[in-house]
Amino acid sequence: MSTTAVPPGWVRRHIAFYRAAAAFDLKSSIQYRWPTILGMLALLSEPVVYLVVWTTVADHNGGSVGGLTLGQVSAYYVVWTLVRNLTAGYSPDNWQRRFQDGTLVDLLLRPVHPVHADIAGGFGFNLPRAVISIPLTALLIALFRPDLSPRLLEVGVFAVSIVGAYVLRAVMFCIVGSVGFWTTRVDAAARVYLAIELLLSGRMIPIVLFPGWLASAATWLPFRYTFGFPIEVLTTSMSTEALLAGLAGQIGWTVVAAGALAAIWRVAVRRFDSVGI
Amino acid sequence: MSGSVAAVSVAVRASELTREFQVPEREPGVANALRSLVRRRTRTVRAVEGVTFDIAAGEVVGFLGPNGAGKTTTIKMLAGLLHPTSGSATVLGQVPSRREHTYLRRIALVMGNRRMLAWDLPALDSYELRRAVYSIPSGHFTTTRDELIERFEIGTLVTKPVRNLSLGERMKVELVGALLHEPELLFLDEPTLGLDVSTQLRLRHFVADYNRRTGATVLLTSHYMADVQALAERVLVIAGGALVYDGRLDQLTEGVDSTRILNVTLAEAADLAGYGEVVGVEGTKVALRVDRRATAATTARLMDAFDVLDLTVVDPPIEEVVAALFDRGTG
Amino acid sequence: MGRPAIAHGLRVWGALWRVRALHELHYRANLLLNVVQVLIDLAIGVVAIRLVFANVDALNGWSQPELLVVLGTFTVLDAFLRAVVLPNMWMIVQDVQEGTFDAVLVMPADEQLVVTARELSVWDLSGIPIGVAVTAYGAARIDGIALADAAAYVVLLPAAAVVLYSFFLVVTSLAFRLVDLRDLLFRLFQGSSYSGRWPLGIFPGWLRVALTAIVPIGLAVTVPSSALTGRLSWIGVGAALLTVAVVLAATRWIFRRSIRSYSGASA
Repeated sequence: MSTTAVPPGWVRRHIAFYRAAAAFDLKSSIQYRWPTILGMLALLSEPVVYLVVWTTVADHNGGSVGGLTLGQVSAYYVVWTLVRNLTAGYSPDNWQRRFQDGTLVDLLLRPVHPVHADIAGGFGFNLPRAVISIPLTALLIALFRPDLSPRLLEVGVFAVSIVGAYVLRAVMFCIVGSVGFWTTRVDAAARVYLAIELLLSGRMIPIVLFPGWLASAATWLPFRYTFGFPIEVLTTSMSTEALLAGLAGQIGWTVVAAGALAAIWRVAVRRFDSVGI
Repeated sequence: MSGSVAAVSVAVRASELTREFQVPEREPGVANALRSLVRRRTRTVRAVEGVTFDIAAGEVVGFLGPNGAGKTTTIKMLAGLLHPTSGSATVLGQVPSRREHTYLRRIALVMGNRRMLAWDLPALDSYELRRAVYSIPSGHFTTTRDELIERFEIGTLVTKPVRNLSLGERMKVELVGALLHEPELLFLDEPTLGLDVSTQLRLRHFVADYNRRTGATVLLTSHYMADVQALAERVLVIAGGALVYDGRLDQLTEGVDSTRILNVTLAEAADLAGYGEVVGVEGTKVALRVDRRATAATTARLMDAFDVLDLTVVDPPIEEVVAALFDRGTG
Repeated sequence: MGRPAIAHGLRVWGALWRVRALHELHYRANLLLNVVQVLIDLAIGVVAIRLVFANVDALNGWSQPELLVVLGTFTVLDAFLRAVVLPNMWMIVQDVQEGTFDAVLVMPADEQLVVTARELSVWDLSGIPIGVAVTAYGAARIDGIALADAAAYVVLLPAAAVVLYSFFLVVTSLAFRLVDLRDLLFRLFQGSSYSGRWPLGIFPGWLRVALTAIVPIGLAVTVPSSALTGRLSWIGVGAALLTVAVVLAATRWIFRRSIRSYSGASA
């Protein structure tokens, strides 16, 4: 006989859930101190590699590459490090595990959609790493002396776009994860997605260095908004219109992705056969 | 809104519930493996077929049947996890497959072979998360939680990481977690799997207690007869995806389960054919089937006539009971 | 461990892989997904190289076809890690966590052999022929590749694979002491896969050391590639092979020590 016969409205329910789920996953992540720290160090190798490659190229090319000076290249990858650590969430590989060990059933029984668990939980879980990344970025700035002088407006838009990037990315990961309702190889689908995102989001190479047709494509696709856009906000001088248009694009793509997720999920759950779990 | 949660006298109504699966054909061998790369053959498996029953609010009902009979599939359809291929189900006045959040808040599903609580954190933390998931007001939640902890005697267990608990302790802790939002309907799927006898007893006691106190409906599946015997007066036997018996448990056992198996370990091998039907011999161990009413007398005669090292009396396996049911036709 | 044991062990290995492969053949969607995945990864790598070489002729002395050799070698080694090494390492971690490692200890075969061979992600092997093709393509566009260089490559590539396997096995052996390494293993692997596409030569000295210390994939990719592109002398080849032998022996020792401490601890 449940006494909570009339549940609170959608917004209040989800706010309470987000708080609890973030706190819960934060607590879980603190259990794994060493893997987190060592993992962060390993992940540092990525931007450093790109930095080395592109500064080497710039060096050979008389101090610039594709219109970017050495200072601008450094700026891109230093901010890159910050963005990477602030927008990290649960990898779509998580879904592979959920389908295999039965955790999916628990998620399906909840009166809350699993994407919220990923958004809230991913945020909580990565909070220690996000916090550490701030002094880390300061250190990188001191070491690499990048060309960075953002306006106040740009900093503000950056902060908003970070949240937007995180949420959009989490929703996209959920879409990728729901492939598991159709195939056992979620990890393969995840790899394909991550490879595409690696290039088209500006993570591997700044979009401004793309050849024209690829750069146009990248500007229209959602991937840029999960990574490259926040970096561009801080490192390039965009007009106020461009900044706001970018934010609108981010929000727009998030709405589209959320809609796609809802539609896919409805179909997926209908055909779910719960074999083995 | 209050009208829909008012007294629903029929808690579960299942009507011709059917669930099919497409299973790919996988023959062994290299040739077949290569062939299946090009052309995939699937066959349709009917895991559940035309199952129909009503369950009243507050009943404790047992689903009995051999492994793979379709019990868990039926439960999953009622819990909204699986979409029925055909047929319908109405649970607590709602359609489970719609998966409305108002429905999911009123049920709980506990599965014996799976854990729902986080591995590395104490159960109390997971309970706190469940509070938010089910939107339980915090004052009420604290009272419910503390009461359950006391009743289930898990006070010292909820502060340890779940990973450090034994299987039996984990089951108790999981069960409490499932009851925190005071579900009106509790699905228990093989809850005593792998547990030792004393823990099984305690678990059954807790479940019965919960049903008595809150009037929650309980659907329990098991392939252990003892689980169902202890908890349910009414039993639904599912075999081969079909409902083969729906009625009182004692009538089922009375009608069909008229024998017992005696497992006798003798000091020296002997021929026990004169004492009952010998169903298995392994050295000095003999499995003897005797009529239920003759169990005590036969035991006494055996102890008299032979040097008996060990003797246990067991029910025939559920498969036999069910197979016998098939022979007799549905009840 | 005498000869009959090795033959027996290899037979066991063969049986395990055969069962696995046959089982996986039934999942044809997996084959498609894997090939697509490897090709996309490759495409990204090629695009990166093209973008770099749109701006320069050589990256610290490495020409474009030579970088294709590096990329191809990376693809082969990456596929090897995903197909053979990582699934087995994760299995070890899981066994230790759930206390089921005893099943391995009880088997009548060498433990290291068992934990190395029992898991195989068959479709991830597709990266090997694809990577070889890319390497060959790149090598064909380099002038003056000696037969000796190609021979050295053929020898050093599997040697590099062995080194990577040893590294991960050593890290995983720590799992017998620390609890949850799965996340760490994954991150190490991921982190290394970004640097592994580029020859170590482009990195300043201190960074070269750091990258090699985190995961030796840079080294594993660069050494065979260097051999193929004529950068490695015979002494270098010899030294590499000797290092591999030492690493293998050390790994085996560490692994066996860890097992002993594990079985001693679980009373």
